[in-house]
Amino acid sequence: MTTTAWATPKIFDLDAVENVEEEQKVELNYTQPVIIPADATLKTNALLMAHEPDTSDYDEWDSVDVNYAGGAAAIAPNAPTRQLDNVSLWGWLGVSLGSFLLLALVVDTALFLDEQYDNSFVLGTVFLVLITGITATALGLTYRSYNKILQLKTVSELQAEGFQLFDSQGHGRAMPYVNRVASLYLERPDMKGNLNQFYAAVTDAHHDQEVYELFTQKVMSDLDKQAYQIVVQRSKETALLTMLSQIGLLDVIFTLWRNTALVKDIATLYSGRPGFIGSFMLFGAVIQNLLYADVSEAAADGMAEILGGSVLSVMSGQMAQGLGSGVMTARVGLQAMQNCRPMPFDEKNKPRLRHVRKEIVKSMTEVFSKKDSAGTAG
Amino acid sequence: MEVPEQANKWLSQLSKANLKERLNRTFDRQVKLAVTGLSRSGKTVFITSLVHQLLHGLEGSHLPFFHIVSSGRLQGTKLMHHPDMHIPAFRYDPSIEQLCQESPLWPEPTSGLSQIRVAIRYQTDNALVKKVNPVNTLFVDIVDYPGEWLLDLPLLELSYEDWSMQIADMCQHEPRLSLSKDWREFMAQQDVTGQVTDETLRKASELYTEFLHRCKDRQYNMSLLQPGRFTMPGDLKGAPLLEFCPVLELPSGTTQAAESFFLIMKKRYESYKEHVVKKFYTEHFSSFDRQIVLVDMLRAFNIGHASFTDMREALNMVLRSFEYGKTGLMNKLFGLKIDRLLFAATKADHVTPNQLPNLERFLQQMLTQSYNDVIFEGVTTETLALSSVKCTQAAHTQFQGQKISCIKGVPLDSNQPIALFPGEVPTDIPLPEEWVDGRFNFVEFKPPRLTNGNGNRIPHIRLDRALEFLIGDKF
Ligand SMILES: Nc1nc2c(ncn2[C@@H]2O[C@H](COP(=O)(O)OP(=O)(O)O)[C@@H](O)[C@H]2O)c(=O)[nH]1
Ligand SMILES: [Mg+2]
Repeated sequence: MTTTAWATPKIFDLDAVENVEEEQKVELNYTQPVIIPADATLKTNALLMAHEPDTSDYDEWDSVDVNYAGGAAAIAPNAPTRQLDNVSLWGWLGVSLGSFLLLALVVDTALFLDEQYDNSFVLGTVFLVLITGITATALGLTYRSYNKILQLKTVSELQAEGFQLFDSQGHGRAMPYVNRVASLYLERPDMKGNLNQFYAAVTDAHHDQEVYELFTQKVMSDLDKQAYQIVVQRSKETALLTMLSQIGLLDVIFTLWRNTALVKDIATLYSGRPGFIGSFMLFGAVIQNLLYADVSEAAADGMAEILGGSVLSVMSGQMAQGLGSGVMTARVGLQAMQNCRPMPFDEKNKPRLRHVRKEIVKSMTEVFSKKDSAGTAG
Repeated sequence: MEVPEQANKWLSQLSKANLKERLNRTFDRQVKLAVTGLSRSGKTVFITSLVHQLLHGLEGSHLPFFHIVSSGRLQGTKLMHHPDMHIPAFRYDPSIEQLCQESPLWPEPTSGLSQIRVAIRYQTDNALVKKVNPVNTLFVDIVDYPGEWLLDLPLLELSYEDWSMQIADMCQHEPRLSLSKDWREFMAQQDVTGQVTDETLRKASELYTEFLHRCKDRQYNMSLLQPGRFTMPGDLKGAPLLEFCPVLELPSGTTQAAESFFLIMKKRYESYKEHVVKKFYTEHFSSFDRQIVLVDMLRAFNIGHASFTDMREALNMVLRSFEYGKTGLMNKLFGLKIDRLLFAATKADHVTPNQLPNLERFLQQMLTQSYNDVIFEGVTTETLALSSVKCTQAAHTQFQGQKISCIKGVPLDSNQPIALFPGEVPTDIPLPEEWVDGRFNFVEFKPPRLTNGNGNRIPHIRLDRALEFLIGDKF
């Protein structure tokens, strides 16, 4: 075989070989210093002019050509938006999973209604109307939120670029990137102060990483705080709602509605929606949450039965369910934060699930103890 | 029960000690920040700018990476009178006036040791202290002293004979060989074992001092010049303590006049060690908490290989003052308090911004020799490229068909701004044959005019990072 033929060792004639690297030879590999001719067109970053040393006053340096004339309005091009069009396969999986879930729920609800009708026609009808009303409203609201999300731009490209910048030891790449992120917030009056602060603090001497850190410090961290508050708030709400409601379908509908609203709020806050992979992960988290809402309702019922259906056992079962649901929602929220934030989080300032969980538990025990004391009083 | 009781007692002691330590740490009232560097490395400018930035700390966003300022916990800053009346005050007011006037000038260089105190009032974020004392004050004592003085530390370990031989050896090579000619010729005429006149002694030490000054000249820019006080006398200017010099050859025979050149010089050398070197270390150096060493590498780049290697050796010698290991000479002799040490490449505005990382890496490379040899047990060290006063603006242009980054500024000797690509800072130390003429052209610039757009603030590069590293943990 030919492969063995060249794999055997062979001694070559010394004169016949060329050195890969010539010894003793020093390659002077550097660029000569130059003084740029005075008539050359210089480009500087005018956005940063405000804190630049004033070098022009000594002389008229009239040929300065400005990149970002007039400040904010002309900041770099926007990231092109990408449509969610290649979702189909995964979409099918989602749809079929969803319909399975839905079917189970509908059957469950039908059984519940049937039970009520057995008791009394009026009660059954009232329940039917209520459930239908609530379902329709919640679904309508969900759809509206979903539409709102779709109107935003995806952030996946910005995120991918941001990840690359993490490792950058260099200079000059972060500013155009950050300008593009900033362009998401230019129209927003609430961000104006933050952006101004950032542009006042940044100079042309900052490294990529410093620019990144500075933008996080001056702009993103405020958004992060707000997003975190939204997540905590929504998780608490979901926890309470699921704790109080006793019907699987409603739990699921509520959860779906609250989750979509949560994602919408966060996406609006960050002015960006997740790209394909991000959407998929988010979608997964929401589905898990829905499944949980459905299954845990059953589990809570079962628990109450096992424990003999005392008020306390029903309560604690419901509470556990509510807590679980709240935490799941928090997960969706944090997932949404990660996927909607145009600059990826670094490990240091990533929001943590266990912090949210603590807050949910706190608010639930507050409610619970209030109920408890009300119960003992009455 | 006995065991839990004991454990309890132990626990309470532990938490008491813990509490006390925490209280001590958070009520931290004073930190002594020492600033050094060889002459013209930018100490005066650094301190002037630093104090100015601190005094204007409340007015905006010029120190984003100095946490106490960017977090909004800073309450105010104030220049204080220094309690140590016997130490000269750092001349902040005249310096800042020169920098901020209509046509700004660099501050007058100073020699010797001086001190200035800045009080920083801040809100603590320690929950415990907050209850007792929500607003605290940190006094930052900034001490300026010539880095040349640190070159004297090795003398403590050297006998006069050893030191003389080292100097004689160094004088075998250019540029010292030709620069020391006058002194060497004079020494060659002397009989170091014979009786000697005061006149001869004075002449010899004068010639030696002159030789050191010549080495220090801009065009040679040598750094490793011992004894350090000869070029930077400080308060010892003209003192008899500085009247000695090494010999070129050790006396061979045992017969020697009682008052011979050699013996007198040896005695003076010993008293220099005792009364100058040791005194500095015990009186000042051992009280420093934090240290920043400023290094002007760009000048060495401009001049070439000899200047560069000399500076590297000098720097590594300076580093020896911070050895902290059990065997560290400093620690053995005087004890060392310094627990943070920052090496800063100054005048970073001379290079294009995309080369700042290179500058930092290069400085690190230059120091690796001693980073490896010396154990910095307990001393946190860092390297940084900074500029106390940013005189240039980054720009880029098209040059010979290529995009090239450059800096724009007004050179010291003209009124016309220039745009300049000053050469690339290498990441590795170039080989001797790579130091060709014209590889670097780092130009000195005029300080910028402060405009209203700046809010009259001095533009800088990374002073905030330096501050954060040096005193950020004290808040
Ligand atoms: N461009 C620039 N030049 C500086 C800077 N700091 C110092 N210099 C220059 O270095 C010279 C010496 O500085 P100085 O502080 O007097 O040095 P010292 O001897 O260490 O106190 C000044 O006169 C300036 O020309 C800086 O941040 N940027
Ligand atoms: Mg000085």
